[in-house]
Amino acid sequence: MTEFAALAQLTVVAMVPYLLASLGTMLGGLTGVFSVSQEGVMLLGAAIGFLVSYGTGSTTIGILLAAGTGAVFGAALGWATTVLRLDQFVVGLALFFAATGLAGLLYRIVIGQGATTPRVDTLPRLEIPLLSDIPVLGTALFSHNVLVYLAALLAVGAWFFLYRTRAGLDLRSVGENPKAADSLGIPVVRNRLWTATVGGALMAVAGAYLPLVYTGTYTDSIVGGRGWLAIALTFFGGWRPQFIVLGALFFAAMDVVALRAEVAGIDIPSQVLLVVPYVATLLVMVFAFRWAKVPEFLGRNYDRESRTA
Amino acid sequence: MSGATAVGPAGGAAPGRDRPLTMSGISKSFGPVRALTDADLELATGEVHGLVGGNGAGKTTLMNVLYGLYRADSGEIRVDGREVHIRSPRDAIALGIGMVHQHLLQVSSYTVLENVVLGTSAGSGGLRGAARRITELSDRFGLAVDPRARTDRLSVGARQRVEILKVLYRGARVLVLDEPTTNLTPQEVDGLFASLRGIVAEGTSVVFISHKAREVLAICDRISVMRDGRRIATVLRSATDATGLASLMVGELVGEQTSEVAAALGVGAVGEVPAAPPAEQRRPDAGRVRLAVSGVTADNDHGVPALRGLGLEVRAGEVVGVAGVAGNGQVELAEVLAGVRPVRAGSVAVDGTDLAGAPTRRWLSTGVAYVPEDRHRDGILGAGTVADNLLLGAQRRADNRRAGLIDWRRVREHARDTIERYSIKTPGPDAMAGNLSGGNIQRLVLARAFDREPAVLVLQNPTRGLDLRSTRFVYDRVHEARDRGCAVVLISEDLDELSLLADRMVVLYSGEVVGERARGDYDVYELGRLMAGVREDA
Repeated sequence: MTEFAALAQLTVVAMVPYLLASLGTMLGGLTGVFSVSQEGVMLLGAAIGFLVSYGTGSTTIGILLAAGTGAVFGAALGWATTVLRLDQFVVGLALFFAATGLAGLLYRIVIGQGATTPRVDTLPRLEIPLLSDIPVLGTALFSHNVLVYLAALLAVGAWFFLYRTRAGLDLRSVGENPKAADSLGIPVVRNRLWTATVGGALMAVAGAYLPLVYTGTYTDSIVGGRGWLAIALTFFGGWRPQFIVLGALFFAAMDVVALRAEVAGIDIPSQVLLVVPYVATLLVMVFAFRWAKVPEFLGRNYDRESRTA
Repeated sequence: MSGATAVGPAGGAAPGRDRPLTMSGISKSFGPVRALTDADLELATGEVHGLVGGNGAGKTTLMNVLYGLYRADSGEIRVDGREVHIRSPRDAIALGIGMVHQHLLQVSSYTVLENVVLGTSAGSGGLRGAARRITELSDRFGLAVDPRARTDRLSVGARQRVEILKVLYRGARVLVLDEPTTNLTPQEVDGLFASLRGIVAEGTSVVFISHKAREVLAICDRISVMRDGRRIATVLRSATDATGLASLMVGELVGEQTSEVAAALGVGAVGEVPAAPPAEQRRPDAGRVRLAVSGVTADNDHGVPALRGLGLEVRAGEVVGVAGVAGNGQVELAEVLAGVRPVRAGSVAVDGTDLAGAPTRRWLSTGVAYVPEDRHRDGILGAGTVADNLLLGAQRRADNRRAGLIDWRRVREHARDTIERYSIKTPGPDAMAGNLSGGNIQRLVLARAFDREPAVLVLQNPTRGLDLRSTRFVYDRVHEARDRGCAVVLISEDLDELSLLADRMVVLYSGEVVGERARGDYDVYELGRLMAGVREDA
């Protein structure tokens, strides 16, 4: 039982970066801005988060500055694809490379290439009074660092905003049919800009989470493909927060199980388990493409005066 | 919708009150193309104002400028006599201007209610109140639609009513309708006109864009005619007739035959077309079945059955028209007949040879020619040259090859010859095909189709978006094919076009042929019932 509780707790902890990065991807995507720079922006978020909290001693400032940097990258994607109408995929890839390079560069400038790896304190656990005393469930859900709670609140808040408010209805229409939205006075560019910006910030926080919660240290391989998986997860979750949460739990569970299997010396190669989320996503997209709905205008730019679209 | 009542000029209202909208000196260019040159328009309160003209006359562009979708290069717009600057649809809506676009602008996964309230979140009540208001509006103006229904489950006619409700919900005093009758059955057109009468009776002004004189004459109080990007005349309904309008629209182009086509298109020739001479008289070999389709079942792009056991026979020298509301299997039928969509069951035989399942190459060599609906996407390679496009499909023919490779000199020579014979307006064989105008692309597609003496010619909406000159060209080619003994299948959503060309008309509904009428027996309302799915035995 305690073994199960421990695994559940680890899964919830491992879920956060997937959840945040995927919610960020979803948010931009629902207005039609499709980012492919998650992996890079997450790495940059990890570097900034680590370096700032190493320098200032404050994890909070580290996370906030990481979010700010991610917002700049998100805004850059939004601006380049709305105002300049450049190809979303090409801009996204360029931003991925820029962020990846910048992350490594900043770390080397600040820390250098010393023999010892510096560490920062990881975020403390906040045990929620009473609730954390519930057996199993208390450990699994209510004794975590603050970002776990924030990520969960964010998912619920995003669902409520997108599917229960008029503003959310307007926002989603931009990704479904920007011409219809525009013809009703819904500002297409403004919606795309802010969602891409907030989306970028969420991706960077997802990255900062890794050194500030997981490891306490930074390496260039710390993100380890989670950014690419976040794209897959967003499709897997049908661009809806409630299913993305479920998908993130599933992806995180695969992570934990793969790790455990390796530690316990079980005879399944960990690589096989690591591949499971990708295969699952592929299967979902192949067989369930009817319900796994994708925003109609995902990845497509909008030009009001275009006479062909 | 604060109970707006019509204020006449005699009502002692402020100056301009009787002129809810004036546009003047509007010019707009798209790159090198001048779409509007010094265009103007003036609306009166509570009138239906027709805006007519051929394709490319600038009707839609002028209204898109009014609605803030296009920014005019110059010009002035006044609402109630006050000069306004409309930079976006948001500004237009705030000024009480609403527009129903030709391509319905809806989020298809949203409900009717959600589509109507979209963008009105600021300062309005809950969705329940909104639903009540929609129901109230639809009762008042006869725009029946269920607010809770998902938009993509509705018929085109119902979706159009949703568009009008969207505008009325925002309290518009000027309602612009861009070609609203495309894809409506004659019954639905009558319903729309009745609703419009109710709407103008409450003081709203309507701009009714159309290229059909008949419809404009049926609903409008005044009619403005546009040609070449400017308004050339405004006439009272009572002071004109179909011929008058047609000649205004066509202008100096009026030759005997052109005006015949124009009049037929504009006035609506259905039921008035003289029966064509019997096929036997025209051609000696008529009667031989060239195209035999039986029991064809095929899926659409989403894997849903779109054709259900369809059967059709076309004889040599016969033009068979396929009527129906868009989305009832037309695209799939055209593609099956052209051999580019696989069939699940059934056979498509050309001159006795079943081609179902055969590679495209065999369809081509058997003599099947196809003029697709979306000529830009399916008809040409936009980035290829005119010569490339004329060669397409014939690249393996011996006379186009030398030493196993394509003989480009011959191909280019042939292209030059074709350009001349089909009067394709282009700098030459090496010009990019995607830069041609719609009419010239259609000429190119037709030239290619006729290059190999077709046995079966399949056309879908071949004149959509073309001006009268090009329309006439297409019709001439269809007649030419018929006279040469080709079996022609004309799939069109334009009943007038079908009445003009078809020797026989079948109605397609939900992937099946639900009715057939011989020439001389075309009745629009009867056809409309069939198109709407009302069974003949019902």
